[in-house]
This record gives sequence, C-alpha cells and structure tokens, in this order.
Amino acid sequence: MNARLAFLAARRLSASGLVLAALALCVWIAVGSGTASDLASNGGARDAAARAGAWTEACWTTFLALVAPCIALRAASLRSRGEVAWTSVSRSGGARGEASLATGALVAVLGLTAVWSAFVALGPGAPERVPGFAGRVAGPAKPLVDHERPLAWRVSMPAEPGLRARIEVSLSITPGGGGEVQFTARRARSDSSVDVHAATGRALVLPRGGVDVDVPGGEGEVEFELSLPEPGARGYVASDDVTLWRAEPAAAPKLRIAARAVLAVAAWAVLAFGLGAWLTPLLALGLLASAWCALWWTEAWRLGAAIGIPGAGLARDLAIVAEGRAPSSLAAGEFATAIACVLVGLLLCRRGPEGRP
Amino acid sequence: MALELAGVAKCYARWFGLARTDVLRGVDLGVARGARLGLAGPNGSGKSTLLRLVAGVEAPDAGTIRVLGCAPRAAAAADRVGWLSDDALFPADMSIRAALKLAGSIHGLRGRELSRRADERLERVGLRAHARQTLGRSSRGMLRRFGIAQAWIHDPDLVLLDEPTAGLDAEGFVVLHEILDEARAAGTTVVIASHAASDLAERCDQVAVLLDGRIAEHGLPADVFARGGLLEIYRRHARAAP
Repeated sequence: MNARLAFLAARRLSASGLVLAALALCVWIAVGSGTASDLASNGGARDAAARAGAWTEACWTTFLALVAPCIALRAASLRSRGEVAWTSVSRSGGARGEASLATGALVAVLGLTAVWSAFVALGPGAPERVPGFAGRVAGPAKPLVDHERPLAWRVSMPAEPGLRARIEVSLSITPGGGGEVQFTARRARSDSSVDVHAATGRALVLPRGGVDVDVPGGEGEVEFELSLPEPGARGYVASDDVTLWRAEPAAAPKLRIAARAVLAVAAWAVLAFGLGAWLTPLLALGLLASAWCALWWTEAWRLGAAIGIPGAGLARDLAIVAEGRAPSSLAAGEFATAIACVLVGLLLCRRGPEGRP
Repeated sequence: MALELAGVAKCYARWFGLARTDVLRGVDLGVARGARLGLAGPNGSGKSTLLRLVAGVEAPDAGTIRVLGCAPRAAAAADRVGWLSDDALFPADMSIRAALKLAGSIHGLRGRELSRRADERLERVGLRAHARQTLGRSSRGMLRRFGIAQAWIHDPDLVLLDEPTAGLDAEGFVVLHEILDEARAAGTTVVIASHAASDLAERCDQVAVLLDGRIAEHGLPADVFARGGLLEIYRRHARAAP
C-alpha cells in the first residue's frame, strides 16, 4: 500500500466545506429555530432520553442526507481522475494503487464520522439507562381489538430477566381517535394451571402509539393480552410483532447509530469507488442513491436488513433512537456484509475498463 | 533489446461492444538498449495507445510485447519504466513538490532519498521556484516539465514520452534536450512520440511512422525524412492506400 496515495484519497473525500455547512445546519436546528429539547417536545417526546434521541436522529439524518452523498460522489471520482493510470506504471500500480485509494477513502469516512459522532455527543444525552432493542416475538394472529373482545396470545420467550415488551396500537377507528390501552403479560407455569407472575402496562394512545409492559421472569411461555378498558373503544395492532427491550447504558443509542452509520457509509463509499471505474461519478452516485432510497423508503429494507446490507435498517434504527431507545447492537453478519461490499467495490475497480469512463 | 513488439494489435469497443475501432493493426518494432526511438504519426494513428501498451497501462488484444526482457506490467512493477502520458492527469489539487514526492513514493523512494531526489529533479527542470504552486494552477509548459521530472524521478531504464514538447517554452526545450543527453550517457532507452519532425530528426537514433495503426516507415531519421517531412510521408502513404 502507498501511504501518499491513501492520504491523497483521504484528503479528497474529506469534504470539509460540506461538513462545516452540515454542522452549521445542526447548530442552527439546536439553537436557531429552537433548542433540541423544544424540537423533541414538539414531536411529543416526554423525557430526556427522547430529547437526546431527537437530537441524535436530526444530526445523523443531516449527515446521511448531505454529507454521505458527497462522500460517495468524491469516492466515485477517485478512479476517474487519472491517478490509477498514472500510478500503474510503478510498483504501487494496479491493485496496490487501487487498494491504497480505497484505504484512504475508508480512513476519510472514519475521520468524518468520528467528527460527526463527537458533535452529536455534545448535544443532550440521556440521563440514565435506556431501553435497548432485544428482539421480537410474535404478535396476535388477528389485528382488530375492541372493548368487548381483548386479544390474547401465547409466545415462547427467553428466560432473560428485566425484559420489557412493547406493542404498537392504533385507535384511529375509535370515536374521538384515542383512549387507554392495557397490555398484560403473564408468565405461566409449565403445567399452565396457575398464573404465578403477571404485569400490566397502560398507555394513553392518541391515535397511535406504543404500550410497554414488564415481562415477568421465569421459565415457560408468556401470555400477552391487549385490551381497551374504555367502553366503545376499537383499534388495531399497528406493528407486525411484539418488540422486546432490555435496559442499556445511556450512551447506547448514540454509539450504535454511529457504528451503523460508519459501517454503511464506508461500505457504500467503496462501492461508489468501484462503480466509478465503470460509470461517470454522477451516474455512479445516482445508481447508489436509487438503491439507498429503495432501502430507506420502501419495504425492501426488511430483505436488506435480513441479509445484512449496510445501512438497510438505518431509517428504522433512527426512528427507534428518536423515541429515546437504543437499536440492536451490531451483529457479526453486518460486519461480514460490509467487508463483502468493500471487496465487491475493489473488484469492480480492478475489473473496470482501463481507460477513464 | 530494450523493446520488442511483434504483431501487436489493439481495438476499443464502442456502442456497448456493438462496434469497434481498430487502433493498432499488427505492429512489429524493436529498439536496442540505450537507443532513442522517435514515434511519429497523425492524430489517431495509435502513438499514445502504443506507449500505453508498452507502459503496461493497457494490455494488447493480440501480439507480444517484451519490455527490458519481460512483460510490460512486470517491467513497470519493477520500477524500470518512466512514463509521461499525453493527457498527464496529475493531481491538480497537489503542490508540484508534493506531487513529485508522490510520484517518487509510488516508485518505492522513501524518506530523505525521496526528498533529495524530488528537489534535485525540480531544480533540473526549472520548477524549484514554483514548488509550492498547485498543479492545477500551473501552465501547460510547467505541467510538461513536471511530467518530465516525474518520468525520471526513479532513474528508469526505459522512458516513454508522449508529446513531451507540447506547450514547452524555449527554456523547456533546452532542459528536455539536456535531460535526453544525460539519459543517453546513462544508457537509458527513450521512446518519444511527437508531431515535431525536427525533434525526431535531431534527437532520435531511429524514427517509426505510424499510419492507420501500422508502421508505415521505420529507419534512420535521415532515411525516413530523405524525401520530405512528416506531411509528405502522410500524403505519400494516403495516395498509395487502396
């Protein structure tokens, strides 16, 4: 690897002007049109964790919308600026030169995201432990619920203590568009004869929201019951399943979003670098932006997240963070897919046409 | 031999592979070690493509190329080849000195030796005073001087110069000719592609004229230019073409 080539690539990717502009935008969000807490309270957040989450979401959304495309565009133009042909007549040429440029691009991505993470850390933080995503279990078979007919279902649950379960409910079909929702969890004995542990959570839903309940500890299946105590109330389950949450350190939301953003931007930047060997930088950016938008705004994210495409679930993770919760920690599969993306980018670059696109 | 080409052909695909342009159609050429070959030909005749193939930047579609006794990419990877391309896409956002040090580093030079060599070459091509200026703000002549400096920074055995005199001022010509003389004394083989017949006639041991992807004339400069300049050669072959 050639350090000077890597440094050249890193310098070109570090769009300092744009980073400063995006930082200024975040500062303006924080102090110009209102503080982060105002922003959060306008959105309905009620506690410090949610205020911190709203700040984190706003900052990272700004980064992903403004800075990340610029990084990808600059990465795509690295191969077409002539150095690859020029440096190929040397020991640092060919694959080594391209690997040097890609390494520089990765270093720049790490540097920029580190600066951004530091900036996000300066904002409001959660004062104590926050709920962190711990998994999903099945929801009710039927989605409709009303005062007369509560929903009940049983699921196998891990024996982990301290878990909380959450379900999303919409009462938009209730007259008045809201009301109280009651969510109960009972841990049955293995013979299912007597309920030994039970907990109930209540929430006012207007017209859509989540309701949490502590999952009783112990072995055996858990029976969930979703009911609407107010006469005449009707609603439906708005989430596909019941999510489980465990207490995590206050810094978990910021750290996990930062880790996911680093992984996603790094992988996509090297993909852009590889595509830049075949397409003009703008076309390469357009292609990647199309794929990114599909993952961001359509249901394609489920498939993408399932196979571990870097950044596929970022929009959903940011939504979780905005609620003052922490998304799941990075899985080994996500690292593996990100490394695969980097290798694909390098291969694309290696196999690209010899002339400039 | 420093350079041996046999039946070298190269074509470029167009329209997503539906059409193709033959740039080289079977080139045979040999250059002895330490010799200086001048390569002439009108625009689009394949001079730059031939140099790119010899430099190992691209691979031929047919034929064989031996550079200093090995494959072009191997010779380039051993830092035995210096190359000044026609388009010379040097990093415009770097200063002249930093870019020259980058050029040296990709050829394996390090530390003080790299700095010493970069400063020496800058002095040699007359760019020492402009060392902090970025390449993007440099004139075409200064870029050519930089290109010449980077081609020689690692003391290669074979130097390929594509239009080295384009944009050079009078002082630049003198510098180039002095460097070529030093290269001859050091036993460096040089291939120069140029449109300037006078340069080729005065500075080269042999001249090859490429026309339509083939070697139309090859020999001593005095023999090649015996019946007129490059334009006469081009016209004579155009008339003779079927």
